[in-house]
Amino acid sequence: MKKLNLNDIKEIFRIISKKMDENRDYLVELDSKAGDGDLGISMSAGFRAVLESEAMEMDNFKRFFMNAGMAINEASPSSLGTIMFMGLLGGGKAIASCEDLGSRELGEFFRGWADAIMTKTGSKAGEKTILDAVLPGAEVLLSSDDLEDGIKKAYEASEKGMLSTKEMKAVHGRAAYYQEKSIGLQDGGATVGMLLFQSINEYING
Amino acid sequence: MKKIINAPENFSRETVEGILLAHPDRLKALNGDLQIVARNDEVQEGKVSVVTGGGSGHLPVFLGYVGKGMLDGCAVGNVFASPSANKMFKMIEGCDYGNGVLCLYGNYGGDNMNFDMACEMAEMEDMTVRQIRIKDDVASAPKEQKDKRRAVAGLVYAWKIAGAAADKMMSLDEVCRVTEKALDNLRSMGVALTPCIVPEAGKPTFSIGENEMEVGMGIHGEPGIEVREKMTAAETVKVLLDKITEDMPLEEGTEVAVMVNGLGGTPLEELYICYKEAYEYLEEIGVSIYSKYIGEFATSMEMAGMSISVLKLDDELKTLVDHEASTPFFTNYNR
Repeated sequence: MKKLNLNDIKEIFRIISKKMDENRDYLVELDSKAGDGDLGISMSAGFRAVLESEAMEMDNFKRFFMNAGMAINEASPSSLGTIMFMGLLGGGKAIASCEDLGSRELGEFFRGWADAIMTKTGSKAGEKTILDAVLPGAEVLLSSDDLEDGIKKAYEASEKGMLSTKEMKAVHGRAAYYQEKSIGLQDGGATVGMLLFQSINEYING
Repeated sequence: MKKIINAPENFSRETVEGILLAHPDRLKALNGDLQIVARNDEVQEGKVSVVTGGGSGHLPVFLGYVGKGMLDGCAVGNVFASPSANKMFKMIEGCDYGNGVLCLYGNYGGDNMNFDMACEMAEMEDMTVRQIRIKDDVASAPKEQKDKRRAVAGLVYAWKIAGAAADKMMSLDEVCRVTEKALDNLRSMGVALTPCIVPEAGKPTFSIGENEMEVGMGIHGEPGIEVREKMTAAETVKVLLDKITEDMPLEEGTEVAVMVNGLGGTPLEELYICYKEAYEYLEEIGVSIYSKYIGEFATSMEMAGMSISVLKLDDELKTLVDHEASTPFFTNYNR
């Protein structure tokens, strides 16, 4: 597979939804150690809502991602549900003119995804958030010409990024009240970020 | 869990249903959506709109302040959860009288992000919107990080001032200016004695020891400054007002508005005991109380506890505090 078209993206969202369902309890467990414990529930409900939304009938990337983001936010207006909306809106804008997505374009999508979130929330890499999984993945995709190889390495980078959140101190959200105590815990948001790459990799490389 | 409810997942919706059935002449669900509450009485032409939004579980906050002289609309989320950006957007759209909309809400992560998105959507539709976040809780972050502070009962003063300014037909710029001024002169802090139970969780998500008080706890049970052995009313009020006046010094001769707010599980008698203590504390330092609210204004379901808010007044703010406000949950006719 060389490029992803909109139909491929829709199929990937089905995989993501399945992954969020499968990891629902795991995410709840990660989140309840420092957050309010609703992460798994909100991600599972959010991505399922995409599959049942108007997004699946859209015929271009920008409208698809905007509607998908709104569906997630509507189903789960929790912090990460809203962050996902920001990201999808920003990512969709970044690739609005693309017909299909190779490794670089997919990297641009995630770069736009992360930029939108960083601008709006004032967050950055290294603060124990979903960005710590997504940014390394985006970098790998941007520097690759081959989608199959790029996404495989991007997935590995996102997983490494996710694991690195264990050493980080929380700065944002409710977890920030726990500061030092958050060290040693893997961030639930970063785990969701890794699952996005894992899903895309699974679709492309099986 | 002992609560007089039906299915826990219907808690927020059925609350709004009850409120709308009780006050159909004054409140309505916009487009029939129970998550979007707006005024149903007549609004003067040319008025700036002041709106808010937030989770359920804090009545009268948030939707209880929709009414004449206060808020024009409110997006309602689930218990302790922000409403979605889309609900907020629809609410802003429905409450825009064409003269600008001020989104005035508490500084909480979920609400901030959703209002950001909602305002972006509104601007894309060429509406004029402003956002001001309320950060009155001195216990939630030190002075150097006051932008991180969360909102507690001071919300009510912010809406009172902004709502009065809008009702007096001030422009959007002017409404924002007096609101910012009020927020600069507003501080709150509270204590919690018992936890609260989110209906869908079914049990308390945190605990407070039998002989302990959580000093500075937030209205969702966020940790405060310290856990202390229980104190008398005089000691408790002193702890709160010491911290408030350290953060916002009150010179002799200052006039203030004071709110003694019950968190849901504390009797009115105790609130009046606290008011007496607050009165004496302030009298001692030469500060006089121009206006007072004593009762339940911002709650956390069955949480026992109390917060004190102090708004330092000048002539302009006094006029706005005095301006008539009337909502199903709030009036200053008799205060």
